Amino acid sequence: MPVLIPVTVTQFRYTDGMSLVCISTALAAESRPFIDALNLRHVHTRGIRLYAGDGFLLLQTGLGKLQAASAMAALLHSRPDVGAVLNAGVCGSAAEIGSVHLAHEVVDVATGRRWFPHLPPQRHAGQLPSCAVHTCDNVDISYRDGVLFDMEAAGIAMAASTYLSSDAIQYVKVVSDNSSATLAAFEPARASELMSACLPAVMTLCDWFRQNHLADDSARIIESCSRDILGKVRHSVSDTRQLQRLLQRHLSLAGRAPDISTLQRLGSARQVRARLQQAVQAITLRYEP
Amino acid sequence: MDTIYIERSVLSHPRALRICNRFPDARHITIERHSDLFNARSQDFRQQKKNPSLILAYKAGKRVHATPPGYHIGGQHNYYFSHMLNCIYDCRYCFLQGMYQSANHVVFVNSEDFMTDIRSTAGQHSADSWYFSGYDCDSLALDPVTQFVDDCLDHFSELPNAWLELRTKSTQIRPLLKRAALPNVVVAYSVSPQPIIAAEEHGTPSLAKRLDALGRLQAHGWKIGLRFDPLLHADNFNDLYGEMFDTVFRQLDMSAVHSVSLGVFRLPRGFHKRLVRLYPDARLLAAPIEQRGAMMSYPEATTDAMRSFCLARLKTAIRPEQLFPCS
Repeated sequence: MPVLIPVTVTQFRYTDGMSLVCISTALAAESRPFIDALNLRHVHTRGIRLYAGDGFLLLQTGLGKLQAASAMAALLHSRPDVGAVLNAGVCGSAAEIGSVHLAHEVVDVATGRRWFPHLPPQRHAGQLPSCAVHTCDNVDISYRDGVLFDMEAAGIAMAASTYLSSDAIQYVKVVSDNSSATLAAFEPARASELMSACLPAVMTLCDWFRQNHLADDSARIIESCSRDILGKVRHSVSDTRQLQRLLQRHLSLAGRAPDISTLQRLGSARQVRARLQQAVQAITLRYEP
Repeated sequence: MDTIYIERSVLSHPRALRICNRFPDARHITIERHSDLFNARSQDFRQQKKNPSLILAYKAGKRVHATPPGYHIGGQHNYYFSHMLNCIYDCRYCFLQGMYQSANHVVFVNSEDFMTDIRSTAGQHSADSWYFSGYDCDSLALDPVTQFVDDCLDHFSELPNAWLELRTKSTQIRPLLKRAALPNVVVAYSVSPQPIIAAEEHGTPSLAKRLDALGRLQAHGWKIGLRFDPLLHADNFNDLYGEMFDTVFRQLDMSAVHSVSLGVFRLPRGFHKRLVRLYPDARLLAAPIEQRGAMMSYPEATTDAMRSFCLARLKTAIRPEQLFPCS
């Protein structure tokens, strides 16, 4: 059995514009290592058990895929600033106890539905081996080679894939029971010890995610310009969409936002659009050596 | 290549084994059907493009398709086939960016079936028929991995009434230089001015490297084609393209070029919309573009001016029968 070493995590610096990473676990014992390492605090939120810290949320969903799906959906619906979900937990497998795996496929055994996370490059995934995760409604102790059995991953996949893309939902599982040490002998308190083993992998994935999803400056500039214009000139939903595209085109071609104060003085959305269109057409597009 | 998905049905296919052996350190993941993964919803094309996976699959069903109207270089019967889906390059104007849910590369390993279908299609025509391989991918860019070109050329060497166009930006021409040129194969390069290559054709070889490859192929006896498509608008268009034409005409024997095609940037409306959604910040897509019928392109006056300039320059270097303007 591998030696499990408690891990200390250097506090991540969360800056404005970065999206949050939500770690999801099923049980309190699985959450504990993350709460301690990331200095998370309990947040009173109706209907879900949530912890928060600098750049991280931890959602403790409870046992089973339905609980996992409903808690995750509730969170993602209310927190659009969550940019990635990492489902971490213990699982059964034929592999060695304490071994950590990334999921390359999540299967809901009851329905046969499958999800394929877009895996990070191996150098960003700590060279973790990858496996299929089969989510069962009841405990499965068949311990087949190459398959991890859990009870939540498919629920997380079902809920999170409505909000996030397949690269932003990852699963890290630690083997807690196999044919030589079955679930019957498993002490829940041991889950915390085992979960510490996957902490470095989860942190590496968080880094990869954040490198990949660096804050988009142009989106923020457009959002701010459009807010300033909408505050002065009434726009319908469709007008707003056209305005934002024109602002984007201006920014892409000229490398800067248009003069907002001039646009704010115009009387209607149509006039704003016409003025912006004129401005966009006047910008030269050159490809220089 | 970091992750390879292999359909269970091709696990023991020699080509799949060869490709897997080439990447011993990659994750090798068995899947049932490539469509489960490739067509899945909730995929972020832009993110995947940074780190695409390879999917080895079996192509069932129809493998040889008639080309859309206007996609030809003078032939009467024109077909395309896609032994790969998606391209390793990242050209901002390419319709492939908006074509599939996924940016992963699918390689169909049963190339023998493609060849059987091409043979049978060619057999249906008494006149020459044309087969275009670079429609859903770059024909040569991944050839060191797929080794498709060698297989393909072996078959085309036995099909004198079937013509093959390999469309590429790649300089992976070793398999072509290793063998005698075939009279019924055209290696066609997409060519753009270097500043446009640098700005819009991410990860592709430079103009100089493409021209070097074209020169070597020409010297080896291969028929070569030049595809000035898409022409991209710029306020310094005449300088950019004028300089490019000078370089091309200087370096290649233009009288021996098999075919030259020319087309202004255009995209079906739906693809354009997806491209804008994927790359809202792309300068190319921020330029004035309007809808004409089902297509999005530059305003008519701009398009006419671009085309006229290029046609005038080309007419100084090639014969009219070498030229195929695209609609």
